[in-house]
Amino acid sequence: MADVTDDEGLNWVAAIMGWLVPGLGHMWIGHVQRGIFAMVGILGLFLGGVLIGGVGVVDRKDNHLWFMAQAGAGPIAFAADWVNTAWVKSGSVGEMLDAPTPMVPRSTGAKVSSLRSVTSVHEIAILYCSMAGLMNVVVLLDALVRPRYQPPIARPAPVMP
Amino acid sequence: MTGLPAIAWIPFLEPIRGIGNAWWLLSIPLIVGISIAYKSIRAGSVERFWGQVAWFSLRVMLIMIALTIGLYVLVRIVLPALPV
Repeated sequence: MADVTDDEGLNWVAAIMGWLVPGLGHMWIGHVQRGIFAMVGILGLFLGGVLIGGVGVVDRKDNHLWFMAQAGAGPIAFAADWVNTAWVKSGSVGEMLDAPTPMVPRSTGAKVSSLRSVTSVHEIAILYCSMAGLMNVVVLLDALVRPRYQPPIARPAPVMP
Repeated sequence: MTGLPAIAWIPFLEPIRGIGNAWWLLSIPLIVGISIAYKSIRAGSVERFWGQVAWFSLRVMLIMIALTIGLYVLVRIVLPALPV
């Protein structure tokens, strides 16, 4: 797949699509393989983080600074936060336990879900999701400025005299 | 959950179990994931994509190992040897 440089300006539609679905921005401008690779990397990181630490690692209220990075991964981060708030932190799934003092989240009082991850596993799972968001910002900025894919022009075979 | 206490592990809702002591191994797939996302935009050609990802990941891991060794030597050997 060849890259062609030209002056198309900023492709805001590709950038927005890249935020909505990681990798979709590159597919929109014709770089389908790059888009698929970006999607695999970013969604793999995000889903890997949620798989390792549970959906509780995406928390807009209690980890708002980390969430700013995670939000770069797109609506999937907001969906994970919604699931965490509606199911895990509310106690609909799992049990609500008395939390040790250092673990008490600011917005939920003295109870914490039994499904919440702890220690280094919790931290590295947050890092997975945050890196997914930050890398998606890098990828969508690339989609913003990358020229639309143009297939290489087939040259006619030279005619022998 | 009221109806699911018998299920051993609920993926994506519950943290994965049994990796508490080996959490640092999780840095390897983290590096690979970052490399895939990075190389998806920085690779000059996508023809040898996975080879570039493997080489980039390996370099990052080797640099992290070198930094670990360097910090270990600094903290455990060099700093204690300095005169107080």
